Amino acid sequence: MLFDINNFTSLFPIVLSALGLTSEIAVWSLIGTLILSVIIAITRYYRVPVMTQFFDVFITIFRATPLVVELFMIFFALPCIFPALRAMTPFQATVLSLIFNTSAFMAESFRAALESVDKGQIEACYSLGMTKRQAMTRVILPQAFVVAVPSIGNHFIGIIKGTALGFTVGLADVMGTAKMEAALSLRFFEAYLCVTIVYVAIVLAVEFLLRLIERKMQNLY
Amino acid sequence: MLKISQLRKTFNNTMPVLKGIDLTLEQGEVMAVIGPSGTGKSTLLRCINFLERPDSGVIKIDGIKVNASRAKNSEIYKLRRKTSMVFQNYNLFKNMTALENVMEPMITIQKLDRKTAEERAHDLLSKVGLSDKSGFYPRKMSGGQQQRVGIARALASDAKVILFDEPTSSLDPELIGEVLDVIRRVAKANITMLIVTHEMKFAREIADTMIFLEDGVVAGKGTPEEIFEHSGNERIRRFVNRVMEA
Repeated sequence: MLFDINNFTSLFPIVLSALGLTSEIAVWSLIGTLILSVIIAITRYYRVPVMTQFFDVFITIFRATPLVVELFMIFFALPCIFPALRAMTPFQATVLSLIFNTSAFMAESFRAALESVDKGQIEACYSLGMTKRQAMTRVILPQAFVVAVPSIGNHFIGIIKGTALGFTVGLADVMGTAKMEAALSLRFFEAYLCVTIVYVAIVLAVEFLLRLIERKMQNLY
Repeated sequence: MLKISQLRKTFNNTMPVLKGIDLTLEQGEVMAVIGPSGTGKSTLLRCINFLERPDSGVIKIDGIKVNASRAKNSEIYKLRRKTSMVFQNYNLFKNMTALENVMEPMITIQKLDRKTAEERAHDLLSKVGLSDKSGFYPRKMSGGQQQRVGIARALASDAKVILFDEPTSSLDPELIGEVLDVIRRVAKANITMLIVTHEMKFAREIADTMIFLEDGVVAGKGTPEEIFEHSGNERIRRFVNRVMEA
């Protein structure tokens, strides 16, 4: 038989049981990416010496390399030279490479969002005696964040899809589980069709949520 | 209250904008700064609170003294707390309501607790006639309303001098009146003010003293009457005649 419907339907519970791991990778990566890209963006916004150059190199490298190369570098290559890194789990390596890769792109969107806050408001902060930090946390960041929401959403979808690379370092996430099932039954079409449907469903659900958030944000201020 | 001596400012090695400005304001004095455009009126205000850093000169205000050529950041922050500014483009914080805008200096600078700050902010908003707009974001307010919130915010800080930088220049004509009314009321409350404006009738009515700024120097100084009617300076007379005709 070309298409084994029983095999196909029986795959869903198995693959969906890995949804927890996939979401965990995605959520931790998102949190880490938000933190790191805000730090990079603020550093570049104020042109902090040394740090700015450091992050420029960081961004160049991580924008120019495929995610899978970064993951292998972090998980397989670097521990050969730095033994301390051998304690790293596949989960941590996947999350780290997703954070670094996505931040290299998102930091730029964040910086553009920071620049979009007009200089007049910042002058108003200073004229009242506020420090740079107060101006940043109370006036610039809250407005920049709203501007950046659509781009954060897009990058989050990228992260979700990126989690599928976890299987290359041995994670039994959605993709990893499907691959194992395919290898056992040799029913590749069923397994990868199942995984395709699962990812489409996740991304559609997330996009729906993002659109709700965006609409809320638009009318925020 | 405010004493400025020999304030100088040059932008990027081009023509000097301020060529040694001296002026003194007493407590409660309202001084209007007039003069042709491009003569450094706004720059003068912006140098007083270091939004532009002056090249040299001394600014003394309410017991503190800052030498511009070697001012430290801590001195600049102290100086800025002694002044507040009303901007041509209002510059309200767009992520805060009218009420929160007015509360902001009280919370970040004076470190008042939220409740006290909120009460005072409500008072100030009612003073500028905007009690009913306290929950509105700047986007939802007219230019005149935004500028009145801007004035309330300037009053909320514990500033000793309020700097008005062309507060009505970007307003539609029909909204200028409400803002001028508020400034008039503030002036009567014995608050020290330095106003850059093109509203000559208003300046004449509200100011205790006036200075005429031209080419980066104080070309004339006196009461409005002296400036407008008995100025011995030919250029001041010509400027005044020209703007009063318009």
